[in-house]
Amino acid sequence: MSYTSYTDLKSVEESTIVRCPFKNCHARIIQVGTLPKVNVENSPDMTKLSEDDNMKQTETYFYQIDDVWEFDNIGVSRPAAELKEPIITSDTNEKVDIAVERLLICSECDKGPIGFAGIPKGSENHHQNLKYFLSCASVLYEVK
Amino acid sequence: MSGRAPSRSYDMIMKLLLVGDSGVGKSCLLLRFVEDKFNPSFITTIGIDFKIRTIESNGKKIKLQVWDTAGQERFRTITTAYYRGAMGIVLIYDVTDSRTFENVDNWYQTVTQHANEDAQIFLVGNKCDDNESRQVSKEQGQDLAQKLNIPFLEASAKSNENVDSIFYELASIIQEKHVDAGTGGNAANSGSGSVDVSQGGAAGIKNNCCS
Repeated sequence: MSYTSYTDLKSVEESTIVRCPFKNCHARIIQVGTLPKVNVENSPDMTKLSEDDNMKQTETYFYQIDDVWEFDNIGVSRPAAELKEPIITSDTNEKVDIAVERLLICSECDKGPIGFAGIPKGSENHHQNLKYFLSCASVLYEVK
Repeated sequence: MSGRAPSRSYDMIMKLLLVGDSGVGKSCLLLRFVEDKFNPSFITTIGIDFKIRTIESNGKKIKLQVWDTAGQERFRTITTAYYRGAMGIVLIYDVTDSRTFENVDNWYQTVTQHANEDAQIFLVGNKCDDNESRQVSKEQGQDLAQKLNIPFLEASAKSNENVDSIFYELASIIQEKHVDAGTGGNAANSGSGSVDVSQGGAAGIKNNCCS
C-alpha cells in the first residue's frame, strides 16, 4: 500500500484516510470525511515530511476536529504552557482564538507532533471543550 | 443537507483508566519512551493525557479512550470526577517493588468506592521483563487477582510484552458484559459524562516516564 503526501495529493475525497507519516507505522488516524480545513499562522512546530516544507511555513493548513471520538487513533499530550499562540482562520474568514495547550502524536508509534489542540478563548478550561487541529502537511493520505 | 451528523464509525466506545502507585509505569503503558529525532523530548516530558485507539473485538469496532492520572496519585487527590463514566480500570503495580503490590488492596477499595458499580477492574503487574529485581512473583499476582475476582496479566511496557493484550482483554470483557446486559454500549452519548482529569493536570507536572 502506498500513501500520498499532502503536496502530491491531487484531490481529497470523503473516503480518504489520514495515516501516520512514520515508517513502519502508518496507523490510521482519521477519515477525512467532511472535516473543515483551516489556515493557521504561527502554529507550534509540526513534523515535516520533507525539507522543502521549510520554505512555505508562513501559511499552513490544518483539519479541524471538534469531537475527539472522530479520531480512530490519536495521542493527546498533557497541557504545556510554553506553546506558541496560533492565529486560526476558517474558510469563512472567521478568526478563531484558540489557547493552544496540547500536542497530538500518533497513538501507535508515539511520534509527532502531527497536530495540536486547545480551548477556544472564552470557553471553560475543560478537556471536553478541546478543539483538535491536525497538520495537513505532517500526515500521509490513503486515497481510495 | 446541512447539519447532518457524520455516520458513526464505531460500534462502541469505552473509557479506560490507569491507576496505581506513582512509579509503577502507568505512563509508559500510554507513551513508550522512544529515542527518536521525530519524538522531541518535550513530548515525553509533557507526557500523554489520553489516547484514542480503535480496536476490533468480536467483529465490532471499539473506540477506547485510555487516560493516565497526570500524577495526581502522588498527592492522593484523584477525584471522583476522574472515575466518572469509566467502564474499565487498569490497576497497576510494579513487580520489582513489593510496596506497590501491597497497595493494590487500597487502590481496589478506592476504585470500588468511586467508580461505577459495573466498571471492570483489571490487575496488571508491570515491569515483568526485569527478573533480576523482581520482588513479586507471578503466582502472588494471580492469587491476589483470584481473591479480588478480577482478571490479571503481567506486562512490560519496556519490552512491549502484553501491553496490547491488556486493552484487548479488558475491552472484550466489557463488551461481553454489555452484550449480556443488552445495552450495546453507550456509543450514543459520546461526549457526555466523560472522564475528567483536567483538575490538577495543569502544566508543569513533570512526567518521569520509565524512571
